[in-house]
Amino acid sequence: MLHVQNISSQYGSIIALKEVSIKVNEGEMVTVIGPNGAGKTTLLKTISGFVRPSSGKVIFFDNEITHLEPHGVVRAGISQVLQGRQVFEDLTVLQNLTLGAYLRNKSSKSEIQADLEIIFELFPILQERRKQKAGTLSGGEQMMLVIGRALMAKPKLLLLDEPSLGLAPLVVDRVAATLERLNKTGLTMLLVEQNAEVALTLANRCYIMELGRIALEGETEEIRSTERVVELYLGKEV
Amino acid sequence: MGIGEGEMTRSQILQFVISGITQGSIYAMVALGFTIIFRTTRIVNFAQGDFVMFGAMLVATLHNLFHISLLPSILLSILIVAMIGGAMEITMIYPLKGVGIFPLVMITLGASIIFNSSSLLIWGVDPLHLKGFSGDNPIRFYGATLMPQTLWIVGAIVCVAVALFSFFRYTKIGQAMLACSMNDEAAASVGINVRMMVLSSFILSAALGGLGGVLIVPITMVMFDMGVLMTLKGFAAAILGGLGSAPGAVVGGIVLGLAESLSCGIVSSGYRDSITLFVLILVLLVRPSGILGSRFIKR
Repeated sequence: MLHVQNISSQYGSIIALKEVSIKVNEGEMVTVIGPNGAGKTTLLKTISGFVRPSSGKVIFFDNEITHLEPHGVVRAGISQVLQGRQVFEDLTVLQNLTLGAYLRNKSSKSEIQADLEIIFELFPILQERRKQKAGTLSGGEQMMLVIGRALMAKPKLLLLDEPSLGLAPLVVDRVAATLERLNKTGLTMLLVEQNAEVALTLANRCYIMELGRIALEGETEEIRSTERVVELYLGKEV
Repeated sequence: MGIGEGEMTRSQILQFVISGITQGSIYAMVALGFTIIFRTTRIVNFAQGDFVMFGAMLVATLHNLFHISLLPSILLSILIVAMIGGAMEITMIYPLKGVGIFPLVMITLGASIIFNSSSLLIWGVDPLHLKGFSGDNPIRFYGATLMPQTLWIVGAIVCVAVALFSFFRYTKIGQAMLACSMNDEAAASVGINVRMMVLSSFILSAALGGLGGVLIVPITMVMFDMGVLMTLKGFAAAILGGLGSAPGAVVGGIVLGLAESLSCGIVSSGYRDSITLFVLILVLLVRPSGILGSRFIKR
């Protein structure tokens, strides 16, 4: 479904990505974990068109999307949940969600309404707060809102950039449960996380990034039992 | 224009209020132009007043010199000004994307100088004038006189304000423009073409400026350098109402117009422009977020 081929990328003279290749198959939940500054966010932003790679290709369903603008990537069927819960703070929850469906010109009002109902069923708190300004929501609620907003575009692939960042552990569990449920309904996801424990519990496959390269890849089961991973990312007691 | 010996009569006060609202409506139009660009891009466009100048000069030229009838002249003028706004974004703003807001604000100042000089080259230093849209016979109104053009101006600002309010609140493009102003990265992530929104905001706000210019020709002398003062007044009005707030722009414009006009009556018309600066400084000192200001400005 998604095939990132030998992407390299740099900011000025600082090399952010070195020949990175990853693959996401339909229906999978794939995670990229690694320390801060390993290039995880750059990788996601390259896929979503915010960052131009210096070389390499991004292929999505046999089409090259390497040089599309961010809105073009969304149109192609890839939505991104940006890092840091970026809601439109002075708009209401409902307006935020409606903007999520911005590109769906062909969908009728009733289809969009039906999808809103699905989001509200997934996150009942958003329905309760639908007339409230997004800036007044709690961190966890904003996270649900940005996930809901991304889903409103009906993406084929959802990119998530550190959804656990800055959330209370209990809220992280709730978000994780929701992601799992979405994946079970058939949504393909690429999840970038620093919280390896959560990411490895959720995902089918995993890439470990270090210093702009893919250091390790494999099924999460085998990755979880790799000695180095246990030591570096999961803590000794696991 | 001082009041001389006695007290101001009620009809005199009414007269000042009428002229204050008329002038204030034009300031409101300029302030709304500021608001649109600021809302989408956070750029304060110091060439906003020059859009008014172009609108005014163009309509007078098309109608008087080329003898095009009034309505087509008006529409054509607004269209040309809108294109100037679009051209400004394409040639001066877009190529500099990523440099941050402040350099872009400087660029708009540069644009204003370019517009000013071009206007001098095209039209020279002579003022232009146009007859009122519905003639120039004053209407008596409770002892005061009302120019028919005043009705056009006030009517236009009401229509524009309502239209803009609905545009930002109820249309998809309006919401998308708002989204860009709050978080352009998030806007792009839901599929909004941020570039097109920026371009549209320049076109829309130039068109508004052009409309203001067209409306003002019959009640004032228009000259190549009127844009600078218009920018100043419109900016003061926008700050007064709360930069970024559309209703605030209208309120700010009217309040500023009234303040100017009444000060002409009470003090002296010589202080008219300094009142604007005084109001501007006062607001920035006392309440930087303006009368109806949002959180936009507090940082």
